[in-house]
Amino acid sequence: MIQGRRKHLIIAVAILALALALVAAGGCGSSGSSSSSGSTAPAADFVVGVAGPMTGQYATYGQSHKEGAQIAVDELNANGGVNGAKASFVIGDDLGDPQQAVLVAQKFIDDKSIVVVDGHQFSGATIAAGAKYQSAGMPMVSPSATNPDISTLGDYIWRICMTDAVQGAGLAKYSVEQLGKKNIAIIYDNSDYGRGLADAFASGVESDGGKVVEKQQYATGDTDFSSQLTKIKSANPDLLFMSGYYPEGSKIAQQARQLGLDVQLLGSDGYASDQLPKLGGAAVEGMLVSTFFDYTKNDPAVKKFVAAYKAKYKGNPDWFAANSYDVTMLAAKAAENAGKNDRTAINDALGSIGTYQGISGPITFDKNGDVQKPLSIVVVKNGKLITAPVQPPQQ
Amino acid sequence: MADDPQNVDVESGEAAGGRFRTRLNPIASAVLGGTSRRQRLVMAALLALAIILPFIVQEDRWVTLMTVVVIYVVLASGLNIVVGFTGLLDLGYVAFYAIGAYYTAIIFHNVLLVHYGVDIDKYWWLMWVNLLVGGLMAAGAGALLGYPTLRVRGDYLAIMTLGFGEIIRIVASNWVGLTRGPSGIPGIPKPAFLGYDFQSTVSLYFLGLALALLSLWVISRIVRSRVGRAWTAIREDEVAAEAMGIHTSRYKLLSYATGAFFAGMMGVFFGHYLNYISPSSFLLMQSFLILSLVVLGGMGNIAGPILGAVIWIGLQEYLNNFTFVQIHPETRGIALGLVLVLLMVFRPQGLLGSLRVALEMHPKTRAESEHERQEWSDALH
Amino acid sequence: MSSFAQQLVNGLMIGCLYALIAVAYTMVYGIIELINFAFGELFMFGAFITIMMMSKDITLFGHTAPMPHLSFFLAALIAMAVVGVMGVVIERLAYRPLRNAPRLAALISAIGVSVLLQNVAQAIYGSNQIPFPNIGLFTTAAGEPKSFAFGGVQITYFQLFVVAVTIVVMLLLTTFVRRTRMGRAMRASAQDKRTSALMGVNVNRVIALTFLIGSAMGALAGALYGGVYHAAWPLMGFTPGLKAFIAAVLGGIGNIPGAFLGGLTLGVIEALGSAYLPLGSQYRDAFAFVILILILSFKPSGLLGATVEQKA
Repeated sequence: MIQGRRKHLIIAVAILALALALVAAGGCGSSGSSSSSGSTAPAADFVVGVAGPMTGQYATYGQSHKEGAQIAVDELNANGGVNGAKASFVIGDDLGDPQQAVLVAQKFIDDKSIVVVDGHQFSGATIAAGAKYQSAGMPMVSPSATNPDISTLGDYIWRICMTDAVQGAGLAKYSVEQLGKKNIAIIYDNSDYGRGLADAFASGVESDGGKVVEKQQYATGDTDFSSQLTKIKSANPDLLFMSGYYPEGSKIAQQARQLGLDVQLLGSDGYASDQLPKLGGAAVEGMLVSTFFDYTKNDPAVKKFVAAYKAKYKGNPDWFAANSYDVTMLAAKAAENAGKNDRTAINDALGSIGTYQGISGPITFDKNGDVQKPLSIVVVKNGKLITAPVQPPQQ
Repeated sequence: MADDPQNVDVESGEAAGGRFRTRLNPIASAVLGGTSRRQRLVMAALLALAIILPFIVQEDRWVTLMTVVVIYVVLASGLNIVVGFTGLLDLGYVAFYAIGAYYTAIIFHNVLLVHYGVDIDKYWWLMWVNLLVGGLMAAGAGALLGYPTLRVRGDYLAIMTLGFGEIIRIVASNWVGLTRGPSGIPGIPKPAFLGYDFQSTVSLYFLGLALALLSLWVISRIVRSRVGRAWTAIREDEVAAEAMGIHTSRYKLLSYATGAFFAGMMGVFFGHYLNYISPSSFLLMQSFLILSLVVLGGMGNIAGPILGAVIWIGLQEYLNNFTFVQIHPETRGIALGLVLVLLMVFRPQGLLGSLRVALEMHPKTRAESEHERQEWSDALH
Repeated sequence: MSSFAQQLVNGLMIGCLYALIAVAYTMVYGIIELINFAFGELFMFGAFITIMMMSKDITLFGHTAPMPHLSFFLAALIAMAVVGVMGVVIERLAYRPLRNAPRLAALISAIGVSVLLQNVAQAIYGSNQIPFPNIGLFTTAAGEPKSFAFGGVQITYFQLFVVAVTIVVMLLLTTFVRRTRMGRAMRASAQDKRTSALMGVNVNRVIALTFLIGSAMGALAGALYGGVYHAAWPLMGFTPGLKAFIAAVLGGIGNIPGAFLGGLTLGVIEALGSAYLPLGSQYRDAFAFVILILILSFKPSGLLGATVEQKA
């Protein structure tokens, strides 16, 4: 009964081993075996490696990221491509995990058609992958990784989002000086991002003359915040700063209202999405949110992007999409400046690009490949995110 | 030499026929021992492939993938000791992996770099020490965490171990002073030995492969010994084993500790390979994944986890090349779920499962032995 | 100290949700002695199907489809029916073939079903969180949940509704299991399947019915959970499923009032521990596991004692 099957099994396994060898050998032939929209492309094509969490619990961020890159690539191709060649992108799913990110990095590096990386999104993934890109000479521009350790990864590593330290300090100043709030409570997500931002915000508040009356933590994915909010309520704050992402944030706002905590809410950039009013409903009306991208801005480039996004994906773009768009367009501009679609050339061109006017604001790289950008604040009104009446100083 | 264990293929149930008795020399037998001829063929083929492939294949990404496979081979083999050989469903195995990784990261970063301010590259030898010490620390944790589970059966054991795994992850995420919390610990140096730096992907791969071969050799020795037989006895029938005079508690703890050791050791390697450690590498899903590798390949034998790791991870990577999968990544998860259910219903002993495990796991034969067990149990009490 | 009262009430509210799931869980576990890892996913589908029935339209597989726009109560009933059937199908396909197999096989199969369902949900509904529509009866005109204050404590009417439903379900199930013939058949099967079969109990049918009821209750819990937290997402079921199991163990596995008590206790410990222990809110998720370890180490039969023996 079992003996006959065993023989088949040996054969099956032998075939499998052979197949593996063939796949591997085949892999060294055509380097484009991993691409989705770009096939085995001649080196002249402008292929971007888009890396982010495409599956798993963070998939929605990867989705926006992908969409932004798509809009950029469509626009580039409509205008004749980059350096005369077609623009396209390849997706790498890093699941937001450093180890997967390294695998993705390796894949991108080995794919000779990829000339620049738009990613990664999460800081941990960016740190792990960044080391690989640096040693392989592949320029990488992150749209959203905010950990300070990224600044020192090397000269092939860039980012167009501001670090947590900068955003935290900026928001603290905004809260104390412009909004006039002195007793501030903080609730933050125990992630690299949430925690880092909360810490920077807290020290900013203290040094600007305000007082942090309560600081509470939660874990990504939590649904019940009543115990944290009850404690915050008894500390009597006049502002609640929420550092984290909107799926938890919408619930925090709802539960705060239910508990009778009726203070001004200020959310970090992780809240800047149309999903916030959708999920939060009436509870988030009037909430202020810091954003890297205000889609209601009266700016032709912004309007064009929003229109293109709406046409393709219905609904408004969030800043993940906007930043991804900016990274891709920025990289294309660098390639055009350099005159060729080549990794080192693009990297050099990035260094000398000066100030690039992105839809997320003016981008000027400092010596670490970081940017200084002004903050924008939006407010939730009638279920939409619109420009807030009080803005931080735009330097 | 009739009762020489190296000549009797009990695992394949062919002892009686004697047709497949092989007299390999002792060393080969020790490495490949405890397995049927079929399994030996598979392992030999894979080993040859493992050594040759990096030279055939030009691209780093495949070598990186193979390194990942090698890591998972050891992890799956370690878990196989606990789940496959001893029959303890450990769902928190990834915690031991984390312990090894964090141990070396903390030593190099917190202690050497931050506290003493030394040039960590000078301490290349420490990594090799840490491989052992990290493994031992994990082993200690394994015994410690295993202790409360001794009196507890199947399902509860699974959830308790799951709980332990989660607790360790939560501690790692929150004890910012020690582990830098969710930011993780960067800057762990690459392995080096007497001036030779393991910088290239291929060199790291071979280092990993060497560790894997060493681990597999050790595991196969242990499993073929009295200890291994005790484990199998516990898996098959704990009551009878106890009645036969086997200290089940002691052997169970040993099982946890041994399995954990390999996870811890690989954790140290992982830290120096990735140069960065964060809690997101040690999620519950990892424990499930490693379990799936063991189950797929075949529990309770040496070659099983190897095949499971190679097939599953290779398959994932292969599937990723399809646009459909890229757009609908849930299909990979659906495939994993289906594979697990179908395997358990139709072939619970996995691809390479031994006859022995098949007999245990198969409902029909199991029911009969249940009945016998009940009779024994009644007779003894 | 109204803050303490509020924390206590918070704990009881979460506790009730845990209790509802735990009650369903323990009833099923008592008979088949399998940790149904997929239970959290049935709970999740309960929430999603309720949302689907309540909405005017919804995006499925990336395409918008019109939906009946029913009331919450009707929607929840439909969800319960659908998920009940799902549970029966799962039992038939993934668990029944393994009934005589060792625990390991059945557990791994359950994990497989759980992973499968999570990803199927993600394929159908996408990975984003979906808002739960406001329930007319319990929502003010401004869109906020109707609530009231009682001795310095804020409670919403919907939360009260959840408490009421949980108590009613617990009483109904306890009566069913203790007083009816089918309930007797369930208890007999829980004790000894083979002998029950010899006594003329159709064990397969009993188990199928148990799954039907248990899954339907799980779906109800999902619908209520979605209503309380105003959202549903594919991964929402895993943690509540796990905590419900822990609550059931805490109360004594197989014991329905025990599961109710266990759920409430777990909720209160989480809320108070998070509020008053130093570093409490950071390690909140670990409380449930620590409780599990303590209970299994010191009093494995749970608070109210188990009706199933410990060592197999």
